[in-house]
Amino acid sequence: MKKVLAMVLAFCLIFALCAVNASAEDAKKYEGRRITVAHRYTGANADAVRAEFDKFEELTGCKIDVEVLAADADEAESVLLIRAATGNLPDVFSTNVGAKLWELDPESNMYDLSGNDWLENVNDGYLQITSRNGATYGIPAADSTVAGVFYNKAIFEQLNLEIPKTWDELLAICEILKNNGITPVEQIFGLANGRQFQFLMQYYYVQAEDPEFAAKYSRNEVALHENAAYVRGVEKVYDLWEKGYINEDPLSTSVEVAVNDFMENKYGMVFRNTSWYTAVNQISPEAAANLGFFPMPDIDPDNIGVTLWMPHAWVASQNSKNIDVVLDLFKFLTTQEAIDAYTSVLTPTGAFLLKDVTVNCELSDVIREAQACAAASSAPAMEYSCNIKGSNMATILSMVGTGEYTPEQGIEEIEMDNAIDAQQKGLEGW
Amino acid sequence: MRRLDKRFYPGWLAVPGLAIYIIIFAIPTFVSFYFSMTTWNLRTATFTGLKNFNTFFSMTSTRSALINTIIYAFSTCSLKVVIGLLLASYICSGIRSGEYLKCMIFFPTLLGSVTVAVAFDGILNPNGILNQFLAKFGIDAVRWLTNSKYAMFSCIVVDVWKGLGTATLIYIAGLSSISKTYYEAAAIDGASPVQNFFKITLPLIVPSINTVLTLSLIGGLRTYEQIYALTGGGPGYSTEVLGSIIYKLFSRGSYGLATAGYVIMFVIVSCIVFPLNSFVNKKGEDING
Repeated sequence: MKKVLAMVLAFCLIFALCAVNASAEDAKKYEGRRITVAHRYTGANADAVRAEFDKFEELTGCKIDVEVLAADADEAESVLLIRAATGNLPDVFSTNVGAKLWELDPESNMYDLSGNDWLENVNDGYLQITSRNGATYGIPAADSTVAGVFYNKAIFEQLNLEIPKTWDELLAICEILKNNGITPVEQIFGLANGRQFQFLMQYYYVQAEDPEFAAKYSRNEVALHENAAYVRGVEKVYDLWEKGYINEDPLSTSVEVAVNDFMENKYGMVFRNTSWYTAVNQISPEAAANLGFFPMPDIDPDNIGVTLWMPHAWVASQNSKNIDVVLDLFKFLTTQEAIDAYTSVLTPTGAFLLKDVTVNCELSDVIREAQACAAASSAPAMEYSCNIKGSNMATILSMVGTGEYTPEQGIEEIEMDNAIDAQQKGLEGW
Repeated sequence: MRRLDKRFYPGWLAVPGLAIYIIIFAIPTFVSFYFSMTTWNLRTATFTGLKNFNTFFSMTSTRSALINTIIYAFSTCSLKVVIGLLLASYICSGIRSGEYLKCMIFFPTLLGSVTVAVAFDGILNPNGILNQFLAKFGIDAVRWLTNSKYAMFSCIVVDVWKGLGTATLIYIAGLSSISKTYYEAAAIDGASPVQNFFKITLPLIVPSINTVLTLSLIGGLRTYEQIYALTGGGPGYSTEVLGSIIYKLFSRGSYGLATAGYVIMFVIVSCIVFPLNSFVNKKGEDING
């Protein structure tokens, strides 16, 4: 009897083991595996990339731990630099592309993605700025953004204002708005990026005047004050303050305050990138429908364009022990399925820089206008071709924008501040 | 008992503490002297001599920051030394609400600097609680944090509010250790409360004053996070301090220059705190005869 019982039990055990094995075969590919992704997205953007990761988890069983780097761009890059130097990079991380990417010494720290057939699905231009010496290091992490002037359509219609083709025309519009008791321009100096947007978007005109400017400046072959368009960028910031066209307390103005003021029709224009639409739309879709877009004009009505900001790149750490999972994740992130997950949470405000991918959600008119401007005439921001930027640029621009510095003083200060940064980076010619 | 009195602790007992001190403090301090004389990108360091120090002092923001740091450190320090002593004397005077006051005053010390800054941003911003309160008296909104006239003053008030608890607590400990017999003897001699304070209390709490002075002065000279979270160093450079400049340089990847900034801060703190400390100690010895 005991023998029979033992045989039955043994049979049950073997059967149970077989059952376990069968279910293991059915299990998802990366069940039990775990990777860490570090990025600096916050708010809706963070939710959108999380939606992509959730989908990947659902498909493969892998768990993705997200680590949020500092929201401040400089601080996040510094954290990555320190972690790279100490061999402590996460499996995947997001980083700025162009000059910033090379600062992280990709040959020593990043996994070379070249040779993977799914890279063919990435925009060629984007691959160019993430590739060096035949190696490719990054794929786009989100959509690109376009910078320009967002205006209140209702106010413009009410006052019969037309889209300005030159900076002088824009100033004339400001005068009309001011005379009608409306603040012409809302400056958002409460944030470091808010102090810089208006100036940084001038780069389209800087490179139009001298296409080699960034390269020459990187080698210290040209000074900032020698490029008239660059100087005009600082003058434009000063113009608005000098003529009394900006809000009363720009230094206390945050994005929240500016969105609120827009909803109350307190101002006519704001200098931002297309993520401004997301900020307004999240609080009031009605107000977002009242947004219009035009490129910041310069002196030539026939040469008007916008400056573009590329999406951050997803990059894999060379030391990752989960490179198989990471490569599958990257493959997934270049597919329509990932973009659908992203756009289910956040309406994109730019192009994803992926081929064979369509955005299956309705884009707003203002984003279409911005995209049309970008398609017509645009240039990537200077930071993608030149990594010289002093630690005080935001402060200096806020001082120009509030009249503490004249444009000449502002340029001089930026030159001195940038020179220190270039020397500290050990760039040749400095 | 006799054996216990004579027994010495073996030297190796100091090894763990000494090792931690050497690894975490001494080595990084000396290594930073070297890196302050380099252009350093965390991978390679190129020796540049004293160039970083020259660059640091040539920066426009450094001039404002040096003045602001001194104003900030001495203002917060003196306010904490004086107000803390008054509060501690009041609490130790036998009032019924002493324990409650102690908790109330110490509570802000438990909060993080950035938490305090965020809370005060809500109070001090143009539409904040303070301006709403002032509006009831017909006073126009004051830009406490974005007007260069008031920004530094606001930062100082916030820091004193946060740091007063520690100062008061140190004073309370000092006051509690003074023997009652001095006051009893003085009472027999007919001393007034003012005489008691200046002739007994003050001389006997010199060590506490010295501690508060040293801690708050060092804190004031090297702090930046609370100011940075409140004003970002602005408007312009009006609340820029040494710490915030160094922080900005670090976050831009100028590690050699930022390290030079730290060395300069180390020298400034040492040059101010050590002489001041020995001066106060000497004064204390003179008073105590």
